Amino acid sequence: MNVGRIRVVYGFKLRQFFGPVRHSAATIVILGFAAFITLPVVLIVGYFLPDTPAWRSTGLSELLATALSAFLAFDLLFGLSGGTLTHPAEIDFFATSRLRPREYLLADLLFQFTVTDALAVPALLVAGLGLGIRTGQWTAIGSAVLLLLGFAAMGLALGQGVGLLVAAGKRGAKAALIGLVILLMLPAGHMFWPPLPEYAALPFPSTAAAQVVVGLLGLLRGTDITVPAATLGLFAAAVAAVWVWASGRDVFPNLRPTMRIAFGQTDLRKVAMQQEALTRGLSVLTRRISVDLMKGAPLGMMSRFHLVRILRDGSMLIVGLLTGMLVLIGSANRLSDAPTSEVSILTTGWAALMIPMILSFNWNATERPNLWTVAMAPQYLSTYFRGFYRAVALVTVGAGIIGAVAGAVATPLGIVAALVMAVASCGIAVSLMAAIRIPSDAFSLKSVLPFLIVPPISIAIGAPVVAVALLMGSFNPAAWALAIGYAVFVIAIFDRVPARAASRFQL
Amino acid sequence: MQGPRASLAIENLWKRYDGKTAVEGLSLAVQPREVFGLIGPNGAGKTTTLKIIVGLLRPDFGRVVLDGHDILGQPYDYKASIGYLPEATTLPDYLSGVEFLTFVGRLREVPREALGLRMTDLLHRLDLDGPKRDLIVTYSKGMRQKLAFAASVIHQPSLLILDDPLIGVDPAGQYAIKEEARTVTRRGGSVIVSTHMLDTAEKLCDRIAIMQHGRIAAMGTLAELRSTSRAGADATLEDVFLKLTEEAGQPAPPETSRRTLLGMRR
Repeated sequence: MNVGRIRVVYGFKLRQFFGPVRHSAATIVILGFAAFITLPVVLIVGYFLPDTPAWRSTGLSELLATALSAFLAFDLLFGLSGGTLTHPAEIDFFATSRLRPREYLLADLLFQFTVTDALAVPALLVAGLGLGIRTGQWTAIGSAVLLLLGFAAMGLALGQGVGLLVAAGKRGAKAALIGLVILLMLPAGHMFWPPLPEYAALPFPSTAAAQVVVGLLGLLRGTDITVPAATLGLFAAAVAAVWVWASGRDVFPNLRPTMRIAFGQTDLRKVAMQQEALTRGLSVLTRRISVDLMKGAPLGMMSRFHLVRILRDGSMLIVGLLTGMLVLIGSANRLSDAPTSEVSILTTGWAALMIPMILSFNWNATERPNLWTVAMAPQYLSTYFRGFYRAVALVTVGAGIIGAVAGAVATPLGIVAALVMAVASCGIAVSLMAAIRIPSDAFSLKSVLPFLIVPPISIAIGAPVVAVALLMGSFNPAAWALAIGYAVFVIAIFDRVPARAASRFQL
Repeated sequence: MQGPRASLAIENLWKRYDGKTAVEGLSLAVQPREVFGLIGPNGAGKTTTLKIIVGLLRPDFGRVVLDGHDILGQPYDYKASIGYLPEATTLPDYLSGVEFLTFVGRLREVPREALGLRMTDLLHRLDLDGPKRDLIVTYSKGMRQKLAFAASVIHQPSLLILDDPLIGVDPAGQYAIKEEARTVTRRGGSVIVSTHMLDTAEKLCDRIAIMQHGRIAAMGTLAELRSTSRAGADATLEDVFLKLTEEAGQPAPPETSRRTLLGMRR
């Protein structure tokens, strides 16, 4: 192995990825400001961690195992897109040089570790600092942080190794990988359906890592962590074996261009392309779901078209991640010693505001330039946007309901309020995109507009349901009738608003 | 009588994607000091062939021999002597032109002191010395293409492979690229160029292969192609190309040779 070549490739990847940070003072200022705001909060969270219900909960190890399993599952799913973060220029100019595959893969692994930990390491260290100040267990905290970082590195190496096998078209590799992801996440269902085994009952690497971390922090009283530590060691050996085997082959013909964006990139079209590239590995699922454009009325056809587009362009990845976070937060809240309905309502409401904006921004970046086809038949423009709104609303409300069910402690009227907000935010976000031409290749004042308009108006529209719940009580039949009537009214209104906004559409 | 040793020989090359044959029993030889043109309609198998030569695709069957070495048996070291300009390349937006060339040059193991001189020379000849420290994201399409070309020749390869190199490039840039390609042949190397610009191919290439449906429909100098196509002494490459591809578009004879290859892999 030639260390010089590894350094060149690693240096290229770093410089390209952090290019906007290197060349834009504004990006540095924004990042510095974000760190200035975030890190003290993380320090405080670390300091007060021992006071939280989750810390004292007997289910802490199970929750951590769920989070680590989700991390590992994400690494494996990333493997579906090839396992490497490869810029197209690396294929064209590096893979056609004397570079050896293992040199390239090692540089890529270092790069993946660097970018995934660029945010995680400072956060972990600062949270650890806060916890250390509070408890004084510096060695245990340091060991736990190192173990989590080691686990992250193993996850990345596993994702790269199996990703290379998938990219090489090894028979059954993709199916095995998807099966592994399902197996890994299945015990998370124990929170909803107790007959499923929980993580603690299974010798998963994520279970072992969680038990060792919790054990190191002295929270697994009377329990020996030798077995989980040995399990983790076996996992590390297996990952190393897979990686050594997979990297010993000529992988260059199988490299896929999965890295198209840089940190702080303002071109939203490229961000959208990146999502598509990362989810291309799931095409075995997404391509099977097709839309019959010959069937049904135009509005239904447009709604189905948008749903399939959302599924295929990678937007579902973000929706899935947000829904996963909702489920995790909701479950953590429900399993804690003092669950509160506010947590569920707030997280569901937050998703209700974020998902429509993400979906509409993705549409603006990828689909808007193609809309000349619909613009040539203007009588269908309003149907197009109405269908767009319905598809976005369906996805958002679906994610909100999953989050609400996971939390299961919110008052029903609180959930209705969050869902009314979801419908309103979908309608406003889609209408804004129809009425205003927002440039997708750079940030502008117009890009900020949806963030300024959608959340406050949507919250205001959801507020009457909250008021009814507070004034009349959550279980009052009259309150229910009022809230449902209001929800139907909001749904009916917003089903029309995007169609009106379409009259202002400009390509 | 034995001819000059071929710098590149392709023998009975086959490649299929998803059940469709992209390259079908292709054989050709490129001589030293020769600019060899590959022309053909879209989907003829030109890019697939070039990608196999540079190691970005594995063939299903066949041999590619560069200076006597089977590149499939030794898939890395031979790449030191090739330069590759892909079709429609994507460059790293947030590097400057000089930074990108430095990375490629260092990976191509150009000595540091020579690399600086080589970059200065190339950027000057391609009229990129003005914006060389600007980010690539600010470059026009033609500037990007010229920069990609500079990256493909930074290490002075003996076999230069160009896939549609002149798309979007201004006339002065086209001239500079063609001159650099001729420099490669003057040093004793070879150039393989795939292009849809038939007038350019006519002027630049010593020999031309017309590909269709993954096969060579005809190959030779322009005079030989005129003769093969019976297109007349004054026929342009465009006339010859249209005539030969029209003829090659007729239904193919039964593929006995392909059947014999079923199940055979290297």
